Amino acid sequence: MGDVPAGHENLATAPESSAPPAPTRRASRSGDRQGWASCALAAAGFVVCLVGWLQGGASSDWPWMPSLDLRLSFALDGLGALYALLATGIGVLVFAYGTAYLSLHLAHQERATAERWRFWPWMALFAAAMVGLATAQDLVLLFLFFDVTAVCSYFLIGFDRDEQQAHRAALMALLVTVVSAVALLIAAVLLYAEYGTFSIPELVDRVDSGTTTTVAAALLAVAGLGKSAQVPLHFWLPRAMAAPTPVSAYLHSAAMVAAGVLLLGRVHPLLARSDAVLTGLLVVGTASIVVGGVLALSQDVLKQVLAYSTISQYGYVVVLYGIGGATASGAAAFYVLAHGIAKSALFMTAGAVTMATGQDRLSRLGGLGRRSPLLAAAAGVAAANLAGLPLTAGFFKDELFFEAAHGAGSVTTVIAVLAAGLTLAYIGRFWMLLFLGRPRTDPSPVPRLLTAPITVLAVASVLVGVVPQLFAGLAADAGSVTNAAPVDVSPGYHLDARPANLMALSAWALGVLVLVFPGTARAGSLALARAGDRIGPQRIYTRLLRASFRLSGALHAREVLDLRSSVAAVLVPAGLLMALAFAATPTVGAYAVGSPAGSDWLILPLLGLVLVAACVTARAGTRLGMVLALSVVGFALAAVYALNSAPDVALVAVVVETMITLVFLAALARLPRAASAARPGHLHVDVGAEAPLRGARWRNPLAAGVAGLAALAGIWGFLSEPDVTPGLAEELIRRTPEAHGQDVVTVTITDFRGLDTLAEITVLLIAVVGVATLVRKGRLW
Amino acid sequence: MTLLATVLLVPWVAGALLVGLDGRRRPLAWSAVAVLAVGLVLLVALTVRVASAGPVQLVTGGWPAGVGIVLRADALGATFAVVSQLVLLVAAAHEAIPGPRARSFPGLVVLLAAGLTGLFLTGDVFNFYVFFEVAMTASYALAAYGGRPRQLRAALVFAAVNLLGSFIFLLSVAGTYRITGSLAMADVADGVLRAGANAGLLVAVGFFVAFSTKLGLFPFHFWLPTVYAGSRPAVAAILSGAVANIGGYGLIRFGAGIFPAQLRMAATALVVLGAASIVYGGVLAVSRGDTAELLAYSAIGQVGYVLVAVGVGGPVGLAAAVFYSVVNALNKALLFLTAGLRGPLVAGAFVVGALSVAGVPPAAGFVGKLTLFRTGVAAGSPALVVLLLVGSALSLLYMFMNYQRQFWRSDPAAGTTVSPLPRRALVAVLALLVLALGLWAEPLWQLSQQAADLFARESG
Amino acid sequence: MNLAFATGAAVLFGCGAYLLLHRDLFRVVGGIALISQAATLTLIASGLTRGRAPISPEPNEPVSDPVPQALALTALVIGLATLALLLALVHRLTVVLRTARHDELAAQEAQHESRLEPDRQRDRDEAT
Repeated sequence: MGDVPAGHENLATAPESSAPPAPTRRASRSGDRQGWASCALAAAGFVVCLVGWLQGGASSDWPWMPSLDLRLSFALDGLGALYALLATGIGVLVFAYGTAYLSLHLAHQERATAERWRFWPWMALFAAAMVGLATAQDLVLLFLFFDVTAVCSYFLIGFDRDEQQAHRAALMALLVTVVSAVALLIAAVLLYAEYGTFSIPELVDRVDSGTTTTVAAALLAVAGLGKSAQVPLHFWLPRAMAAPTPVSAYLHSAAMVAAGVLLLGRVHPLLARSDAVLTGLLVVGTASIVVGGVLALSQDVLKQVLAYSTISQYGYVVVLYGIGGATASGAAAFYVLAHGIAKSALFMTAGAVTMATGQDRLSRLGGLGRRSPLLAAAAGVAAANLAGLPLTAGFFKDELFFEAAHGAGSVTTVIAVLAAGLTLAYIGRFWMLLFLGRPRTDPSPVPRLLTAPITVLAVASVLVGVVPQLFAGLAADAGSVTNAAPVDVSPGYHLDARPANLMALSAWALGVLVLVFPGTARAGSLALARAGDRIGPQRIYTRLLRASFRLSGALHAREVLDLRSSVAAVLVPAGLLMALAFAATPTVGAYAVGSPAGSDWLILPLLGLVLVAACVTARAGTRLGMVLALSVVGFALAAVYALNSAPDVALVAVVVETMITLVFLAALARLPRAASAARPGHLHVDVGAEAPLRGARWRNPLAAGVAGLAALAGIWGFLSEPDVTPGLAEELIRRTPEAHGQDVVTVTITDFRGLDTLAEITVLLIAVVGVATLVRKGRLW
Repeated sequence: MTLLATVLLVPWVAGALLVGLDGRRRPLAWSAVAVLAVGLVLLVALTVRVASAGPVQLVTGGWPAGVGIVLRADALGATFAVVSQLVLLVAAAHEAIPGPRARSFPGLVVLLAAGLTGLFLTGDVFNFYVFFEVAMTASYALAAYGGRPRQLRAALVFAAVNLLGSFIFLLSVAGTYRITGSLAMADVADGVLRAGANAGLLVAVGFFVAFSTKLGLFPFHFWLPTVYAGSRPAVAAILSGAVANIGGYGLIRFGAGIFPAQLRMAATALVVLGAASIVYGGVLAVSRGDTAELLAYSAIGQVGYVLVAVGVGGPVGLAAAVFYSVVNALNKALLFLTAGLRGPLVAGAFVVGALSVAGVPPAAGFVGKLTLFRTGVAAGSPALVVLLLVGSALSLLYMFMNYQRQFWRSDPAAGTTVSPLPRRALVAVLALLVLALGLWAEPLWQLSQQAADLFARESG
Repeated sequence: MNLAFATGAAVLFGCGAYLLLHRDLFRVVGGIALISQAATLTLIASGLTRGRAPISPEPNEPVSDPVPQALALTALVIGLATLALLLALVHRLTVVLRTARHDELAAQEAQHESRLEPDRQRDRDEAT
């Protein structure tokens, strides 16, 4: 490892971040089989997609849910090929990196290697979902893959289960991406309702401008912007850096956030029908560029710089989609490719540095260039790629960007120059603080598997920087899909004073200027950060969540979940609904009093007795009194039935009433002697704040009154209906002799409606079993 | 015809026999499971028959329809019967694995199955009431399973409130006979069209109150948290996944089938009540610490969707209501059963349930949400679409907060006793079913559409 | 007569509802009993025809409607069964908890609730 060089102050390292022990070979010797398997899978996917694209694309269309008009339609067109190749290609490299990184990560946190099973399946599923997402041609299918990636991301961010940071970050990412993805579903349904199809190519053909299209386009844009972490839905991405580095390098730089702009690219012909949406994209993109870029200038934690950089870089792509047209479409596709290889390389660098030094902050790192020249060079190429310096792919990404921006007006020109300047500034600061200057830490050697992928990506950047045609063809194909018309992408080195070159030069000058005055830049950035904390979207999110917690708690505290409220909650709304129904329909002439005849004159006093007995039951002072009054009610009603020419019913009513009285008396005898007096039981219970008895005095009679009135309105209402022909009754009377009986009612319950009687007997059986189980003093539980 | 009769008689007879024997013995418990499995197979066969050849009808005693009791299997009844039977089967198996704690448990579950099957396959209003009482009495007895104070209290609240609902239902049945003169559902539907508007609406309100109480819609929901949280997981799964279906089925059958004019009149009120349920259930679930209570409030929210769909009506709305009822029943059964378990497969099963409740693909709930959004768009109401969005966001929030609390926060106090493998495997199978339904919802959606088409003439 | 029967049923229902809201669980069961009587009365009153009892009826004389009578018979028995079950539940609950006041039961639930408060606080911290 070597001595600390002379002149270097021995900074005391903070207790929680001492340099880690030398990474043993032990962990990697056991072999991360799952990781290598995923890597192989990704490689296979890459090869298949490459071959497919080189052969001119492929497509397949299968019925999925025909009655819902959903189809499994995939097509490896230019756009699909670009994102699929990006996802699988970077996947191969990140997975290889991850096999080493994960073992070290688990070893440092003293976790079992079996935890790999919680990591690699999600990574592999994610890669597969990205390929599906890239090639899907049906909006609902796209939505499915969209959300599958969000779910994978949730579990990957939450991989470090014991960190509360990770929990918070995972939940935030899930909420923001999934809820914004619902906008995609709503847009799909809107378009389906209007045009009858979910298929993207068909929609692109059929759709014309109109309100539905504008609303659907806006919703699609929201879904894409949320996924790609654009302002104001950007706040989840810096938090998501709580995930292990391979996750950040893959999902949150090149794959998942790319899914958002993939959506924008795929449905761009729809978006283009609405100028408002395009302008909106421009605004959002610009805001993201500025917010991401400015905030990246003052971030200390390595991954946070890169997170804000990602927000800013995808802002470029969104601006290009806002500009629209052939040049911009091609430029956007090229941009995504170039950015992907640069950003994942930088993330992997951050991870390697953190693994080697145990530090993740720029303020505690420095001078690593001398220890790890290869890493410094590779990272430097990646940084140069991002900043758009010549001899890297980045130069062409910026050239195309400048061309498109210049072609769209002076405002976009200025934005473009500003953007590129900011990029150079923050990535320059990142690289310089990390690799130049005095060494502040004593890094252990970085395993080769952690630096090799970065080197590969750096080499790729340089190759494309020299021979841009390697990416141009793919970008042109992808751009053609976005533009719904052929696009030509022809980047090259031109040594003349064309606008793109001038813009590039001014951007570099601006960037260097910002680098030279770090203090001012930092101050401005911190000011923006403070403003964002106070009024930014994350604060709104947090406030919203806290408010819903408070509301929820308050509502629950008001709910009194005892039996009385449960019952009252049925009676009172029922009464109100009846009142509503009463008011809503014509009632003139609907209520007839009816006139008593014959035996009715005997029934009336009996009914009077029933009423009195009912009231006595309700107000009885003792339980026994209630039971006796209840039996009076029952027997009086039996007499009413008898007088109403229902002898069978009267008989059964007498028997049932006797049984009920006996059962009540038996229960009364067996109940323990507690209270109709207000003595509380022997159990001391803290009654607390619930069940205020004082105010309840008028509530019970009120609720009962409402219930009674509602019952009166309802029952009187239907009893007053004009008589319907008693066809059923006549039919039953007629058929009774066929059923070998004379008493119509008996024949009905035993023959015509015998099934009812069987079921009634079953109810008795169940009740007997229930009572027996309950009453046998728990012996049978 | 004989299939219909067999489907009804098998659980009935078997249940009557089983309930008297000692269900704590494993062979008995497993024979109850076997009976339920046979019943499920028969019901699936019936459903296939109904889906391909149309409704099947049978009148008891060979009497003409109206004189005898009409039993009728159509797409709506068959679908609900199958899903309820499935939930009962899974819950019974869940308890049979360690062995039931009460001797009457297996018999009661089978009798409950008989009651529910009869209820879903009957075409007679009073017969519906009687089978309704069979099912409810069995569930009152089941709610006390476990014998602890919490369960007893849950059973008491459940019984008292639902008995009130039952008697309100009976009052409405009396009213129905009075205004239409018949008891067979088809004849009643015709009769209602001729009856006075006032009486018809009042009787319909009575039915609505009874079914909403059963489902636990706002504002009739107060009993639900006490009961679902207080009862044992298997019973909570039964109550929310099988018994609650009575409410959903009733709303559709009585609302769209028998009282379509009244349904149209009350459409706005229904949608408002449904919206209140969705928001209330969702907001209250956010701060719940106890998983069972959270699931109870979630249930209140989820059935709001069904009511909204019924309120919007039309072929799209009714099909969405049927589909969502089925998905919700499966979700709730899955979630309640996982609530008490610990171990490797449990977290995965819970996640599938959580994703389904929130409407995230690839779980079944996403197709449900898709159909609900189609309903909202068909109703032409942006407010409705926003409401559905808010409901989904709330369910995502509370489900995953709960997931993190249960499975990510390592609680050193809780001993990590892993639940027995068969129980976990059962729950995993149910989760796989929910996933499969999400990836290929074709058969269920076709059934739902057939069910909705039954009412196409009336609610058109 | 319509009004008479309707009033009878409504008063029974109202008194039953009043008892249903009582603190004492035993009276709650009494309330259910009253409501079931209300329902039976309504059933009988819903007959479409009134006249003689429907036993060996002559062809042309007015006969009481047999349908609601059959329904009432079934309803009576079912009411008895469920009432008995409910009483058994009340009895068991009272014996186990030694209290028949359901506001005390609610208070016990409130205790359980407050025990969950620390967990809820952690949830809040974790999500925001």
